[in-house]
Amino acid sequence: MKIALHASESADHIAFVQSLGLSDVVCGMPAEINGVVPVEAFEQRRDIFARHNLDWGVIENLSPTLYDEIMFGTAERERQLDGVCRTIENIGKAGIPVLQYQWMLLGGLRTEYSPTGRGGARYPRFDSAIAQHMAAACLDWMGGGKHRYPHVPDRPLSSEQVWAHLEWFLKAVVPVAESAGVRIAAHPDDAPVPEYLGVARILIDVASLQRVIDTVPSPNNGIGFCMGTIGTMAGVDVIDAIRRIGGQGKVFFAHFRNPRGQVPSFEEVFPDEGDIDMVAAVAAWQEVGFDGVIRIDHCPGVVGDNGRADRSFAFQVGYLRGLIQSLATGAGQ
Amino acid sequence: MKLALTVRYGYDEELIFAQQLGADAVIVRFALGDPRDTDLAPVAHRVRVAGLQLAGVELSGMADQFQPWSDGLTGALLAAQNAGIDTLLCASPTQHASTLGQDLEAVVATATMTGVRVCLDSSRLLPEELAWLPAGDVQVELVLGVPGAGADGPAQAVARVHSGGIRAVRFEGGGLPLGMGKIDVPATLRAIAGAGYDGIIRAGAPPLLGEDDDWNPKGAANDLGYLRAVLQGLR
Repeated sequence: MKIALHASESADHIAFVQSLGLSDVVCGMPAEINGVVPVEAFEQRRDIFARHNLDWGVIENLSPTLYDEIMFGTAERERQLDGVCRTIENIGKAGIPVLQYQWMLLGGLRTEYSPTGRGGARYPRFDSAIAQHMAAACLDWMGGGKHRYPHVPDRPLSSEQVWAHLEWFLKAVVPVAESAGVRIAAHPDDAPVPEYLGVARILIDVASLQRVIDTVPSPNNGIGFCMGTIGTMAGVDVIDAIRRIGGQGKVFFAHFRNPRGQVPSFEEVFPDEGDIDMVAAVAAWQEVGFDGVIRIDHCPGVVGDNGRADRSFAFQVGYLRGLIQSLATGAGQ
Repeated sequence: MKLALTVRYGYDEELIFAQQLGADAVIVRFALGDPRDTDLAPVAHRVRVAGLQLAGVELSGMADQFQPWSDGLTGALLAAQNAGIDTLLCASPTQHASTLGQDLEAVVATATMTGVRVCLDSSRLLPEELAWLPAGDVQVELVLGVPGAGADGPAQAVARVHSGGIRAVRFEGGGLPLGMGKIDVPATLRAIAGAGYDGIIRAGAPPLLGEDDDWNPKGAANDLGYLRAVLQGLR
């Protein structure tokens, strides 16, 4: 598997990524024009990374401004679908093999960022009891569009409705992804709770991820396996989930993160102290033959760190590399 | 094994950093001044009240010539005894004396008297000097990743462990993140663990990762995370 960081185009960040010895990066979408991201935008960004010997192998994520009407099932969805399909074709033309998307209508959810961690480190936390009455629990990490986050919905949406919207999307988009040579990967709902502000969240257990795979069987339809999110699904064993989803070859991209607790409440901790047995998890990734990109995900806030949390990310890169090398040489046996 | 992070004395952020990143202990780097004025009690106190374990004090700024070096170390040993510190780490004088073993006898005697162990940096010792150690409480910090530092691979590291007196093991990345250089850290750690080593391990000089502060905390974090993972992999 290939360790990656979410990278920006800034020279300083690129230098940081390079100095860590990484050769893979993931990055979000360039700006759209009239609902379509042009191929030149992808190529320009790809080439910036390539000049520094960095491979941009995953787009993370499909910008919600391109498909929010589809997620909500409004009358505008046909217009947006055309833009999404043309964007996927452009991703393929630019030679970027994986596109991750999420189906969180109201975005990711956290309720605290508190200095209660090891040595006073700041841990992002989620508590469903708090979120029920907190419209601001929507992480403002998507941005833009009519359904700009945080967003207080004007009507409820049931699980059946949200599933119907996703299935409509997959049936239209997966054939385009096949033609374009792009593998699309669904990220689960983070936090994996069944409902927020009256809107259903549907990718909240392993069975729902399997349903995504089975809805449109295709080598181009799979999962963005977020270890942190899946680790916080009620009753889910991440190692088993890696074997189940990864064993089908359906993990196109992975996130490396270790939480403590599962819904209804959890916190994101350092990778060496969470509930997931990370040694066993990396062994499971190797067992299923995962050779894709695994990105270091969110991380705790460390003293003196910069806005990108370089110190905390550096710790996690070293940690994951140590696990991979230990298992490769048999040190973990 | 116990994973230690090296921190500079007087830089409180580094103590917090060590605690947040889950170091089992710290080794505090302390600049030695006049040996008659050496007071290590504040070093031990700060580490203790920060909720950390002190694995040892690493002396810097020591003299290159043997006699003033020995005087400095003697003062530090007495200060360590007064402060309840059980381990001092340092490099031997740059200008080696052919009779270092003989010269060290006074240091050995002081170490024995104070009950404080001295760990000499293996990368600064000649092979014949290394062969003379351990001598009483004067022992060795085995440095790996530096050519000619007493162990170039797992087999040599195991041999050093079997010879006894290894109080600490330090992995040097040579300017690269640990795991990116020539030394096979997991294989070496597995080998020395198999040989019965159960002491302190730490990373050496942290690499510069992009733009960083003068103590390279990004590199230190990377190397600490790496060693933590390798230790967890051993278990």
